[in-house]
Amino acid sequence: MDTDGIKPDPTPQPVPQKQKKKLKFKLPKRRGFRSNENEDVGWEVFTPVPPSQHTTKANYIRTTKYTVVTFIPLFLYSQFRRFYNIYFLLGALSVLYGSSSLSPMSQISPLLMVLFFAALKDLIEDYARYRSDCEANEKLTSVIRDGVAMEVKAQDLMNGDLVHVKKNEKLSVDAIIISSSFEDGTCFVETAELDGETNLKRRSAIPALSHYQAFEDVIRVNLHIQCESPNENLLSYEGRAKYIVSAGRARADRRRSFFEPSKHETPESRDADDIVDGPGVVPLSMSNMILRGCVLRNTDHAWVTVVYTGADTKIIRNLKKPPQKESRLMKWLNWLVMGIFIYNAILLFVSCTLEYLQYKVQFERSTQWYLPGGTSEALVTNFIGALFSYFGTYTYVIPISLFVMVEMDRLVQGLYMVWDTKMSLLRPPALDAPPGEAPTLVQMRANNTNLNEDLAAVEYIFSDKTGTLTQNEMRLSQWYLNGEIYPDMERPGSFGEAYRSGRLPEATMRRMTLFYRVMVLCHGVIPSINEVSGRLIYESQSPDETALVEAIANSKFVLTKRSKSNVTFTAPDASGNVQTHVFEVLHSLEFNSDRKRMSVIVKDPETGKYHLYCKGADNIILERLSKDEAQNPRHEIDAAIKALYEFSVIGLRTLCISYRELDEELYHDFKDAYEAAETALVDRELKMAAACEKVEHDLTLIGCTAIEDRLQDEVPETIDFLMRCGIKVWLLTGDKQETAINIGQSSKLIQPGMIVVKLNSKTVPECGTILDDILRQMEANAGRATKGYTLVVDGLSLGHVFAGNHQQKMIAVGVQCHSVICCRVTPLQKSMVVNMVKDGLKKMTLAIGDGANDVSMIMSAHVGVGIMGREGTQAVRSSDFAFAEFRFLKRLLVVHGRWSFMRLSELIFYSFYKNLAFITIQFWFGFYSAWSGQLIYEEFFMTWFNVFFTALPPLLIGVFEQDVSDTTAENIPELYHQSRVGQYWNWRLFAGVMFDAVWHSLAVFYGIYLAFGDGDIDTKGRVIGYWVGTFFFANIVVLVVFARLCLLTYHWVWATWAVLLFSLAVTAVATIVIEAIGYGSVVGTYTEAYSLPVFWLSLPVIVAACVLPAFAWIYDSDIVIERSQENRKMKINAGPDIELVEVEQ
Amino acid sequence: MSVVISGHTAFKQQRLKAWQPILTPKTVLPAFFMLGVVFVPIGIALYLASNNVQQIIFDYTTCTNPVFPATNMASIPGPGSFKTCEVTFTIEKDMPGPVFMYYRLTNFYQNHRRYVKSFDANQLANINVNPTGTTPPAPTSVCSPLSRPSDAPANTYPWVKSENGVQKFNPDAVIYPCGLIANSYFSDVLSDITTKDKKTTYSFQNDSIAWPSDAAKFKPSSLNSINNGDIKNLVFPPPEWVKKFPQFSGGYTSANLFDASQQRFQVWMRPAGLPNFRKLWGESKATIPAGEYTMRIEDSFDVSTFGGTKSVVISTVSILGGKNPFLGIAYIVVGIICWILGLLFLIRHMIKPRKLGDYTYLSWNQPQRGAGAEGQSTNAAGAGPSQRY
Repeated sequence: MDTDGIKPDPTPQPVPQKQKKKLKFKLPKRRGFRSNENEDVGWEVFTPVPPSQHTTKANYIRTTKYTVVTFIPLFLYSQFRRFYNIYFLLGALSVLYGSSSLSPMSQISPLLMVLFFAALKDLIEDYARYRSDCEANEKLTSVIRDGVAMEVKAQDLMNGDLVHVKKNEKLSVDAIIISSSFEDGTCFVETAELDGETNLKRRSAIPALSHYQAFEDVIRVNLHIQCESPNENLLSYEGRAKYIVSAGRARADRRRSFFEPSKHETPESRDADDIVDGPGVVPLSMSNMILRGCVLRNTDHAWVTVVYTGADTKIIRNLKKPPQKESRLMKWLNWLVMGIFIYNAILLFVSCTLEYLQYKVQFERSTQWYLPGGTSEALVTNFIGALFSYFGTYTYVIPISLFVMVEMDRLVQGLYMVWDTKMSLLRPPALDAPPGEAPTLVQMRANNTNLNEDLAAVEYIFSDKTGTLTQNEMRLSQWYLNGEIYPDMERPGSFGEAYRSGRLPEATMRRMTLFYRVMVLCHGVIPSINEVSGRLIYESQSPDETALVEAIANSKFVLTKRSKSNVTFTAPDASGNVQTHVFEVLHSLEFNSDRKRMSVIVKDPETGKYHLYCKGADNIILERLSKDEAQNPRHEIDAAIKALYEFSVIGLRTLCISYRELDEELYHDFKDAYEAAETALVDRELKMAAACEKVEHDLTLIGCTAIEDRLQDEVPETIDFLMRCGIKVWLLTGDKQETAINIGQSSKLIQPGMIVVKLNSKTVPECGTILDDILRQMEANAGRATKGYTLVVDGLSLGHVFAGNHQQKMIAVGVQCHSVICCRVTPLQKSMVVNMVKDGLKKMTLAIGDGANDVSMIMSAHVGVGIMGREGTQAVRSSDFAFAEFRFLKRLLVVHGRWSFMRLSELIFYSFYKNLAFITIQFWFGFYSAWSGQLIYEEFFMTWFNVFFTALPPLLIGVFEQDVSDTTAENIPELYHQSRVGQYWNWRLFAGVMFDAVWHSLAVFYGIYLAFGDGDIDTKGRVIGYWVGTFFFANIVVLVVFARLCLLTYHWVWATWAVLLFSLAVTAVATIVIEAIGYGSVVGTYTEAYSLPVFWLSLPVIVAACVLPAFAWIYDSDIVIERSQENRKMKINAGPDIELVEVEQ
Repeated sequence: MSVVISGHTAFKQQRLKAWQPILTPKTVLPAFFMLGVVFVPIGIALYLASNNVQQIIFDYTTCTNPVFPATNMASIPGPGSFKTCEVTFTIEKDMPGPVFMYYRLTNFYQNHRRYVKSFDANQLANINVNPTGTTPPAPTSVCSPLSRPSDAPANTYPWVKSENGVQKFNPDAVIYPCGLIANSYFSDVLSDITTKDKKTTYSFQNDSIAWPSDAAKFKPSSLNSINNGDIKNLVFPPPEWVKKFPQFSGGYTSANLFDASQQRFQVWMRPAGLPNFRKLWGESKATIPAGEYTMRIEDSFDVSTFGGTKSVVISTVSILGGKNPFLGIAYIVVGIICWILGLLFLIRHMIKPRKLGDYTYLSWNQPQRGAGAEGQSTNAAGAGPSQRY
């Protein structure tokens, strides 16, 4: 026994504790094997886990914002980071100064209430996270520790634990696969939680260990993994594992003897003799890894060893939220708040100055004997008292509840979007679903309701094509081979029929054979038998590939089985006899968006020759063809290019199919370079790409494929409508120019009569010249009636635009075009185009897309919209809004965007209006109360005006208001234009708010002031006093702001009545309750006030005088006319309601 | 099998039944006229009602200290160091009962922040003022800045002994009634009115001039149970009272302790909302016939230092209380404005009727206008609300 090994390991190991960051850099690179000095191998994991590293809670995760301890400080910090909350706090603190007119409780209670609701919201959200954390942390997991099987809680998993993952189990750590229930170590995982893709992905075990499948085998494995430190890259992982398999069960205490050569020779470590396998070193990559959140599918079980736990796992490291987008309205609102602060400051300044002057005069004359004073101390005391009183009182100018209400309103708007059946899709069950499966309801998602109102002001839409405008339901349309077109869509299997006809010449047959081999071998499709339906189904990350494999299967070349290195398929020979073939795929050179091609290298079982089969984008393949006339005769290439052109003109997606025979030497050259690249720890991808370049040239063209992707429903109508709204639509697609123009035409981006302007430059300067030309022509054409322009730019020219700093010219052209089509663009270019317009024009931009390649664009634009299509949900997760089909965009913008904007801006304006009016009355009162800061309202009323009496009516606007119906909005594009240019937020409206507030405050104050006279307004001669006055002002101001609300409301639903009546009742009841409980000095006064005829007589006239200007103004404003349109003529186009009814099956 | 789609409700689909009042000329113009039709008559009626109120008002501020000699007013000495004002006035028409007598103060800020709250409701309601029967509890800070005799100006209470020039008050001593409102209690005394021939006197009663709620609140104090020797040094009248009310100039005794249930005091204790105000002095149920009358006013309440005035008002009431034409005028004005607006809109509607539902009213339209022009208009529009409006 190696006693040395029992000692605590002197080297600090990556224990996922607080010190781990330091460890990453400190770890000496002197472990078991030599390592390249440049490589990051700062992370070491041993299986079995050395006792010194045993910890608990290593895999504990916490996604909550707060803990019990940090809640109060963190919450307060987050709240008081906002300026207005500090302001309210100061307002509340001001009453601590003794002689303020407000009591501390009444001043601080609204702030407390707002904080309470904010805290409640945070706690509820956090509690949900806490529950899901607990569930994840407490889940029991089977592990082997020191050769002993046990069950531990997921939170206690540690690096190096050997975990037994069962079918359909979700992993809670990042782990390397040692073996699986499959002989070759293949595992299938579903990564929906990581990237939203529901298709299965293949992962493979460490090849050398994949046969240690049974419990008694796997416990004998010792591992020493060196790999990169935890990082957030979900797509790559680089590391290597040294393994030793002993005869008996692996024990941590013997690990050192195994892995340290020096120790290996000491007599104590003789028991290392029992090594039965190894030591060996294997490279590790992402394909050996299962990440936290993955679910094991189609695999009975797998043994994995943990490499990252808890906060080190890749998904947790990816949990960082993207920077929060903020709507334009919120920025404006901040300005508005600042403006109100200034208004407030002016009121405060004027009030306090007048107070000081008045008191100074009286002090010097020592006159007001009934008030305290007569000393200089009283002057100061009075001034400070008034200052604090006014400061506290004037804080009510900012509606404290507004910010809570804005949040609530956004939430409701988001829910409305989600609930909207006209934006939901009943998606029929998948073909392979078990019979009787119900269709799924795909509802819209509002991920970022902060941007609701921006939807009403969109001016530029950037759209992806595939899956966004089109259905992304790829179906093979045509095969092209040997100068022949096989229309597979019209006549499925026509290619196979021709092949089996036996009438074709030898050379043709040979090419056809090659062709179908590329089809069945060169792809990443996983065939599987659906357990329920028993049908063979294909799953892959690319719908194009599935379409190809499915189509070739129609011709009876059927892919049946795929293991890690072998592909099995059935194929008929020339005479129609079906045989099963097994090909060993030696190498698979994967597709990525840079390479735009995929190759496999196989050994032809008949000839023993190495074949490279390559399929890829036509431009990529064409430039890699052999120039040898014998292999690629000129006329054949020309014919193929012509066919490709024809395909693209009708909007098909094309691929070229090619092959190459590799001689032994070249193959081995490649193999060495490739395998070296595979085990590299740094720049692996670059090295692999370089290795691939070695073989992927001098190709021979075999044929082409054309895949059809149909437009989604109502795409042309939607685009046409959006363009009529004055929105510029930019299509950003990876397609060829011809395809793109064709799609542009069929989707109405290019309409009859429009002039198509093309920008295809070969060099940077040329790009500038062309743009200048276009601008000149447009200027010359300016007077003439045209239907507008469409600009078509290809990716290369777009590159020139950015390289040559021609963005300004490009924008100048762009703003004059109704639509712009950018083809052949890369994902990066997509976001560059969006940023160019966003920064160059400062206009509201919206990007819509469905794929991972649209993510950058979606994040760049002001508003990002994701399509919940078939290309996974990465776009959806990074988007602000997401729905199932493009056509919903129209409703999202013109209905929900419009209503959100209208409701929110009216809510904000109204909230400010009512508070301004409310507090400005207090200001006027200063002239008649010696500027002492005495309140014009009863204190209780003052406090609860915002949060109680008038809290619900603004929400009424926020929830129910509709100025035009959805049908109208969806039929009159001009309405959208109006909302975009500021119908709901402009200086005129703001001036209206200020005017109303000031006029109402004047009318209410002086109306009551004059009606009061000397206070002798009782029919029995009695006089009323200050407290009855507070009643007058309070009640009438509430009625006035309600009356203003009534004028504002276009859409009266039962809730409008209910809320108004309720709020009135609450006000009345509160008045009575205040009196009944003898609050303050008001006892008895309010019932008297109700009995005064003057109160009831002054009410109608004051309210009428207040709202008359607004009434006349509203009557004269143009939206009213649209609304009458709605009732009289809008029977047109309304159509039947689209109802989602119960689906019977 | 069926899919139940939850939430297809009118609310969630934003399709609740709604009433959408539309402001078209057909509805708005009649509304304007109707409003005028309703408001103007109400205004006229109110104006007439106010006009029917008979009111006699005379300012006696300078009566006893005439800057400019006033007609019909004479200053006569007494009581004590004060003077009395004798006023002669004429009632032109019979004043039907009830007739009310008020005093009116101007520029007197009863609504000052520190004044309004400066009283102790419990003390006035005799709640918990004298639990031990011997010493009064200290009034709470609500009376600040006038709770205790020590808060009063120096030497207000001459009967309290001084030590080294500083008066030593009993630490339990309170002012009753404490606070600024009580301290400034109106001290003038208005007499009943007498016909010139001194044959008939019309008396103004003060037993129902306060609001019932006030009358119920104020109670005589039980502080008078403190024995006579102690009360003078434990319970003090407010400082101004020592000067203005002869009966309190030597402090309280058990017998003359101030009685808060007097309604004139209650009227005063309800602070006025505005700096010019009336307080009810008394009510005469009888009709006062036309003729010449005299009355006397004991003048001790100082208003000239702060530029105020004091007057006596004798008035009948209408549905609006005293004479106040404002509401009537307001109704008439608003009614007329409605008519004017209605007319203006009507004229405009006759000359240039608005076509309902016409998009040309929208500030932007016609996408067919051609790209160049359209592009420009879009640019202008896109420049933002600030340019457009």
